[in-house]
Parts: sequence; structure tokens; C-alpha cells
Amino acid sequence: MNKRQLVATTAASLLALELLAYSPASSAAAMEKCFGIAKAGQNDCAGTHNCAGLSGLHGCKGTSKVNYDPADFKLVPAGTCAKLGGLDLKQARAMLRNPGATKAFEAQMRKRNS
Amino acid sequence: MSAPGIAAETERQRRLLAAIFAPQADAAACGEVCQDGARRQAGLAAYRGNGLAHACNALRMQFPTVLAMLGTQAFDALCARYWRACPPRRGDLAWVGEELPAYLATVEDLAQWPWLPDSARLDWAAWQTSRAAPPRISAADLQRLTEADPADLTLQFSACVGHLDSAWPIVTIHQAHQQADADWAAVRQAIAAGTGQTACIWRPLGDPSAAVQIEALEAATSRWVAALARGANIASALDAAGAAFDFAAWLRQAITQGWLDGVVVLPAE
Repeated sequence: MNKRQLVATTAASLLALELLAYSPASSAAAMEKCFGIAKAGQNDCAGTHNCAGLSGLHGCKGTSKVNYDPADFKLVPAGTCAKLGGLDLKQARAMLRNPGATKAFEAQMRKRNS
Repeated sequence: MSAPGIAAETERQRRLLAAIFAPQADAAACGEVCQDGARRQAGLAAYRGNGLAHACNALRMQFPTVLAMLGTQAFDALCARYWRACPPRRGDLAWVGEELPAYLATVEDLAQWPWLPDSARLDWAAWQTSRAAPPRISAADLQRLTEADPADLTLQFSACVGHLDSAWPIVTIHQAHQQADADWAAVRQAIAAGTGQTACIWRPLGDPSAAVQIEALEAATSRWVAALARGANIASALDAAGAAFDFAAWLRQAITQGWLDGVVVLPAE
């Protein structure tokens, strides 16, 4: 098989398998904020106030100090947050009003991901 | 935030950093970030005091292998020296470690571990990859591969993957520092043998909480990615990789792991 055949055949087989459909969407517009799934130091944020976590304690990406803090988010493909055990903005705000529920949520996420 | 808003915020942060690191803060240079008199001085003093502590925390997260090699005490001392020698140029702490690998190469008392700068580069590549935007490749890119001559095309890597070539066994060293029961004799042997490695660093797709993956590339794949990184066309890169390279397996992994941003048509020579 020459190079052209090799490359074309491989690409055609990948197209047929629709592997791209399983990749996260290819544009930022198809991403959503998912709260409570980030491990310490892995939160997403652009370092600006309007993008900071709900705690307001830090505004920089990668500066969260706690695993699975409902105040911190990661960007995930739209529609996948619930599958990862995360919370949307409204759920996260409600959770943060209740310290007991917040601790229980973090413990549940640690167990889920251990 | 709009583009002008981001530019204004970046400039505000730059001025604040200049004021924090200035021996005698110049009010004219500070612009709107400074207040007057004692309140301004108190504010700057607080930033100076807290800045190093925040930077140290960020650097510990960004350079876990270097931290493991040096230990917490020596690493924190290194942070303080780095903070003074290379003041941050951006207000975003996520970038504070940008110059640490190059700085490590200049520190004489660390010269006995000459692989340390490359280990830091590997840590930094992992950090950058963990924050990468999603890949932009589409079905149209794959379609292009089925239609055009590979000599007219090249592959564009996404920010979700990085490659790092080193004269040291940096992947072996990195992995040993992640394990509780590492085979240190094997690590020392690899270092003594001068076995260089090319590291492939990528962020798994589909699971944002998954750790960044780091593995050593075998020689053929290393030649393939090096050729593409130089801008070679696909046909030339296949020649460089040699017969041992499994293009089909590599492309499948590249697509499923989000290593590519696109298939680019090269300009006619």
C-alpha cells in the first residue's frame, strides 16, 4: 500500500466509525461550566472576576485548593456535567448555602472518583 | 469580557505588578492602580507579602516533579529566589511558572542535577496541556485526508497534546516521582546510560477530572511528531518515521484523544 492509499484508507475508516462524534465538541460555545468536579488546582477560569469561582476567594485558573469544591468549575462539553456528578450554577449556589450539604457532596465526589 | 476589557485588565495587572516590584513605587508609573499616601503603601505592602506565598502555592501545583525532587523546604526557597529573579509579567498566577525551567538551568547549586530543567519543562507542558482549549478538528479535516495527496498536507497539533524531546530519561524520572514504590535503581541506571526520551503529554478527552497523561514515545513515533512539528508534509513525515511507524494506530489515537486541530493544505512550492 502506498502512502496515499494508507492515509486515505485510515481516514476513511475513522470517518466511518464516526469517532469525532465521541470527542468533546470542537467549539467553546458547546462547553458549559460544571461545578464541583474539579480537583484542587484543576479548576478552569480565565483569571477575571466575571469568571471566578463562586467563592470569590480566587479568580485564577488552577488555583482552587480543595477537591470537588462546589464553588469551583471546570468547562465540560455541554450535556455531560450531570454524568460527571457535577452541578450547574443554580445547584451550586443552593449547595453553598448549606455547609453540611457541601461537605457531604465533596465526600460523595471523593468516593465516586476514588 | 470583551477584547478591549481583557486588554484593559491585562494592562491594569501589568501596572500593579510593576508597582509591587518597584523598589520605590512611582505614583506616575502606577496609574489608576495606586491610591494615595499611606493607604497605597499599605496596599502594596500587603500585595508584596502575599504575592510570594500565592506564587509558591501555584508553583507547587505547576511543578510537582521538581517539588518531589527537591522537597518542600528547598522548593519554597527556590520559589523565593525565582520570585525575585524573574518577577511575573502577567497578573494571572496560572502563568507564574512560565520561566522557571529556564531559570533552573542558571542556578549553580542545582547543576548537579542537570535533568532538572527538562523535568520542569515536562511539568510545565503538563500544566499547559491541562488548561488547553478543546481541539478544533472536524470531519472535513478527515475528509481532506481521504482526497488530497499526503505530500500536499500536514497535520496541525492541538494544545491538548505536547511533545518534549530531552537528552535525559525525563518520563522515567517523572513516573518514578509519582510512585510510592519506584524502582530507583532503574532510574539511576537510565540516567547513567544517558538514555534520552521524547515525552508525549496529553489531556484525556471526555473526563475533565482525569490526570494529564505522560508517556515516552518509541523512536519511530518520535521521528514522526518531530517531522510534523518542523512543518513537514505527511508523506515526508512518514518517510522520516520509517517502516516501524504504525500510522493507522497513531491517527486513531490522535483523533480520539483530541491531539489535532486540523489537516492543513500546504501552499504549492
